[in-house]
Amino acid sequence: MCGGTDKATKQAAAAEEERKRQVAQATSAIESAFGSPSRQKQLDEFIQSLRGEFQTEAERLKKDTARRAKFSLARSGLTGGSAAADFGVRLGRDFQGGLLEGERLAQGSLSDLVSADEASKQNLIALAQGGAGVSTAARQAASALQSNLSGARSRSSVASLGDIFSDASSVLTTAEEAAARRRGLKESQVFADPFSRGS
Amino acid sequence: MCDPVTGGLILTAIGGGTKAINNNIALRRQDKANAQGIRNQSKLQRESNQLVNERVADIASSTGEAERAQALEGFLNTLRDASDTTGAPVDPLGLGGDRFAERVSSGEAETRKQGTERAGRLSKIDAAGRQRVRESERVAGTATDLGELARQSDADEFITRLRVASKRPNPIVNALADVTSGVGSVVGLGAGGVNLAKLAKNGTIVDPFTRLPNSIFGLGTPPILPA
Repeated sequence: MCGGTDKATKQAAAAEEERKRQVAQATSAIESAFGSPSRQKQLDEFIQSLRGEFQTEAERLKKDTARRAKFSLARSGLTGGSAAADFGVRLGRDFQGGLLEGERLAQGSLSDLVSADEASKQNLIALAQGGAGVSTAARQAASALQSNLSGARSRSSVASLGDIFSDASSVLTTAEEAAARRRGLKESQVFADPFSRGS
Repeated sequence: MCDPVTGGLILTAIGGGTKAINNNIALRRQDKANAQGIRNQSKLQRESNQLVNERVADIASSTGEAERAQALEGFLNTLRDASDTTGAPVDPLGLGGDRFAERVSSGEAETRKQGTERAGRLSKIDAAGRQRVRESERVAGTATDLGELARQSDADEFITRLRVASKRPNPIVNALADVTSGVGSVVGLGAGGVNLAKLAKNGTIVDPFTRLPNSIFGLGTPPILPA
């Protein structure tokens, strides 16, 4: 009779036990969702596709540069010489560098996705644990994640690979310009001296 | 009719007991209000849990396939719309011959094939990022909904505090109980003091009329005092 009842205390204790059980259950479900085999498979497909993109682009650039080099060296009279051999080595080195750069970009993009998954997971766990109390922080974190993902898209583009044969291209350009000047001089001599016929 | 000291004790007991009962009733009402408040908070917590569980289930079933299919459709439509201009017109006068034409035709086919393959790769690359943007948008939406529940929770908690504060002991009852206790104390202590005076004066506390001993507190004796 003396003192109040402990109804509120018992209800508070029961509510806290239920909350703990819910948090544990939700955390386990969240871990399963983000660690599921289908998500891992998607990440594998993502990096394979990205590698394919960068590799295809590198090979295309190499093919174009090699074709251009064939005619440029021939026009300069350097086919079969040491300059052609050196150029081949440079082409191979640049191609290798391009492949490695592509792999670096692919791994970086994969890392961005994994980080995005981890951030979403932690956000959800925070919402499950704190309930309404952490909603503002979680909302801001989710918005920041969207901005990061939008910025990370640029790393997944082949344009980020750039011109891996820029140095080799400049050499070819120089050779082509020199060949063009020589041709121009020869033709100007033909006009200047009609009897020499440009020989 | 009992002596003043006994009566005083009874009055004191009545006053004290009434006050205790009054306070206890108030404590029970406060406890009841607290319990109701906890039930309300539990209901809001269950709603919060449901929102979180729905979001978790949504992410568990999220695959990015819809984004991939949408992206692929867009890329293929672009290639189809531009198919007439994919191959450059390298022989407008038809001077190349059959072998040249065959070479150009196979080149165009190879280009279309590579375009389709590339569209497939790009759709997989884009789908992964778009899926995560979608998921983060939905998590943000869930956070907004939880924020609304948080405001309801704060408001409900404030109301509960007000309710608990309003469940006070009845002040009038306590005042009357205090008065009763006070009267009882005065009567009881006063009668006891008289008995002590008798003891000091007569050397005994035996009542002159009944010849029975008075206790210091006058239990069981008539209230008649000698002149």
